[in-house]
Amino acid sequence: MKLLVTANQTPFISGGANYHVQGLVEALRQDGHRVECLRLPFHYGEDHIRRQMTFVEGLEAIAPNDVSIDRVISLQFPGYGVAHPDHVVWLMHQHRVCYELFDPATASPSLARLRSEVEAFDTRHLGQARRRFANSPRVAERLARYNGLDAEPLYHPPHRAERFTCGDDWGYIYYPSRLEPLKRQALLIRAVALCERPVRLLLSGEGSQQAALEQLIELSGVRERVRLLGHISEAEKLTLYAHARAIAFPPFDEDYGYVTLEAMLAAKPLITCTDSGGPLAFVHPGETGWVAEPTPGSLAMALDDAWQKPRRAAEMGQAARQVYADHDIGWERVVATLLAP
Amino acid sequence: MSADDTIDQLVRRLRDASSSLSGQQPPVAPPIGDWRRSLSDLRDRQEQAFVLLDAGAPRLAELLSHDRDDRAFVEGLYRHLLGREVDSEGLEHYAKRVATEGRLAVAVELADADEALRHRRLTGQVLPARLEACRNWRGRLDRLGPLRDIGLRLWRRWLADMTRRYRPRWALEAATCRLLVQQSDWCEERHQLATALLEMDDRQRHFGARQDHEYARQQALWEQLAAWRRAITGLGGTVAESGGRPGEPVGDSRSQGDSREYDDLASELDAYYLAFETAFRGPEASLSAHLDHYRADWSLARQAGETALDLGCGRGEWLHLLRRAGFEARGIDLNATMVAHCREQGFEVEHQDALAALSSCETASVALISGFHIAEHLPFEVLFRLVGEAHRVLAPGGVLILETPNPENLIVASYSFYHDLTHRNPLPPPTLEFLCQFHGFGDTTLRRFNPPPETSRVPGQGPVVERLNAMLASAMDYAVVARKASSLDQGNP
Repeated sequence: MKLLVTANQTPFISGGANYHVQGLVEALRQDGHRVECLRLPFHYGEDHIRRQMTFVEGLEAIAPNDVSIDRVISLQFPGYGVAHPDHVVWLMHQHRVCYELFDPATASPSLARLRSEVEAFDTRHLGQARRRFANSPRVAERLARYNGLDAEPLYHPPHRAERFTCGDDWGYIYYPSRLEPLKRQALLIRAVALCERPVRLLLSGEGSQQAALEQLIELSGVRERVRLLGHISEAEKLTLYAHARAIAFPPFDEDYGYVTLEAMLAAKPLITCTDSGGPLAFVHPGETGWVAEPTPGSLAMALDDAWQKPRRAAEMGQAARQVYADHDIGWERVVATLLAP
Repeated sequence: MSADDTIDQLVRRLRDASSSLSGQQPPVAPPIGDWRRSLSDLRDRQEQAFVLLDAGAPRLAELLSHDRDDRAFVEGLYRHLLGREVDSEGLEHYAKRVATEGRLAVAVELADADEALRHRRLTGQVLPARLEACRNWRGRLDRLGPLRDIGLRLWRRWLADMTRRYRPRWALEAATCRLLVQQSDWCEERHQLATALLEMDDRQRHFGARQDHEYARQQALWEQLAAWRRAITGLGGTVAESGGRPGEPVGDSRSQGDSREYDDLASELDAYYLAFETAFRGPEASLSAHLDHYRADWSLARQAGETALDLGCGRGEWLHLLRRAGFEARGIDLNATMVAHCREQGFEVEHQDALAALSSCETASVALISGFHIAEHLPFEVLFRLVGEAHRVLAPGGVLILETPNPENLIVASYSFYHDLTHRNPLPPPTLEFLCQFHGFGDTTLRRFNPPPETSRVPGQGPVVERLNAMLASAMDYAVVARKASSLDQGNP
């Protein structure tokens, strides 16, 4: 088949999304298809977004330059605005500032205007897609709530899933993520300060919150128990996963979250929050992890619980690994699902 | 097993474990640029001039720095006690005071400054006990009232005595501390270097594995290509055979009673030669342009008649040209694939040996005989007879053209002549010319073609360079153009 994959392009910002797009294109090629990835420049500015939506709607995707395309697979906003009779959408996320991150109290009038335009755009084009899949149940849930459209959750594996292993418990909780407000490292540090047990926490990653978090660690008096590791290598990340007692992942309303899957692959239980979104699809409270209220107190209880029962934590980790296996997460299944007739 | 060690020890242990993990990894690529970053960090790291073994609790010897000069002592004191660089005013002032009052007195005074107190409050720094004692005594002097000056003198003498007694020991201690600090820096740097190297090694191995993979793939492709070539050769042979007239012997002696195996090899060699021609001689079109150089010669020959015979006609470029010039041109070639190729284009071409072809021609029946790059393939006896027969067969005024690589060019003579493994030996222009003259061609001309690219010239001037260039840059091909005397000429003795 001749397949066109549409996605966004944001120069020099690479993250999970980039890996997701490349992984899909690679998997489709390995399955023997001719694949082109159409990457559309994306800019978050409101006027830019308006122009991008108009541009995408005018794109010729059925037979560009007289080469007919058999199927279009779209991953991101606004790329899913292209028109094609065999259009499959695998939704990574919508434009979040117009949805769950939209706050009427603080939003500018121009953002409020954009919001209704984006909502109409999404409802129209996603509604026209022949089939709809979502990156995670959380993304599907939002689509149902805001646009009244259903989508089937379709999971994909994290980068080089086969390399994650479980080693001896060296007594620390690990949280890898960019240091950004939505990731809520601060909440976790406050929780550690409230812990009754000498819980130790290692955080890796860089980001805008680095200085603020350093200060918070200082002020909370947990310098001996919490450490920011900054940027780490791939090997260090694997080691940190392997020897952790548990993985903490308390972000606000994550779409999917590779950390959840990586924790399961490393056979570690996960500590997350009731409003963390993506991780909730995988964590079975009390069996493969803890789901706490997004407050320092509630999280501290979960941390203490994980800390004082190392053996129980290890068992929960093994159960988590089994959950991953049961979900049959792999690119083969993704390709088979997206290319089903 | 490790809940007891401190968080720093834990982090160090994790980093160590991860570097050994890097060594065990299968050939996968770590993220690009990781090691580059740590190496450039290492390169750009400044040597720290003022570091303490324990910044939270400096030793008195470290503060007094008796292993360094007075100005370095003041700079260090500012850094350690006030947490900032010294300003030039402060440096001048205290450097002078050190000369009169000694380092210990200056250290006490700076430790008492408001700025130092603030610094200690912020950082939790603890002063060495002996410095604290000195400070206490100094504080008490202010309570002495009128006796204060005497007290101050005594206090200074006490400090001077102490300095005299301990100075060598302090100097040694300060130097040792500095060495210890340096050592721990080096340990850390060594660890970073080793990590970077391991990452590079890891990537190297990844590339190695990929290279092996590509090499194996290339091998497979070569094999596949050979199989295709064999299949195509088979097809070419069939075409040639079906094109030959039934009953007529194909080629010379070898067609009769030959085994199948021999035919297979012959047709494979034919295919090789066709491919070789394309690769080394250039495409047919560019060769046609070259042949156009002979325009004057064929025009002359045309006056002697309209039949032309091309010996070793190859892909038929020359036949093409002759036909356009109004000749009735025939060709012969020993390569069945080439013969088939020419016949496809509608030329009259026989699969025949050159000498046999000439022998079968009537005397004085042909206006133009040509042989492009065949002379160098022939044993001398055959070439000798070929030139003689050509003279017989040519009509009066007819022209013989023999083109061959030019050994006047050093590269041709020593190297490129041997590209074609069926070449025998280079033929120097005078030799070939003489051969024609010997057989009765009175009018012979040497034409030289195809100069090598300008880059093959040695740059510069002077007799040596010129001589060298004459050898390196002379034409790569030449031809003897020999004309049989016309009946008009023949009348003359």
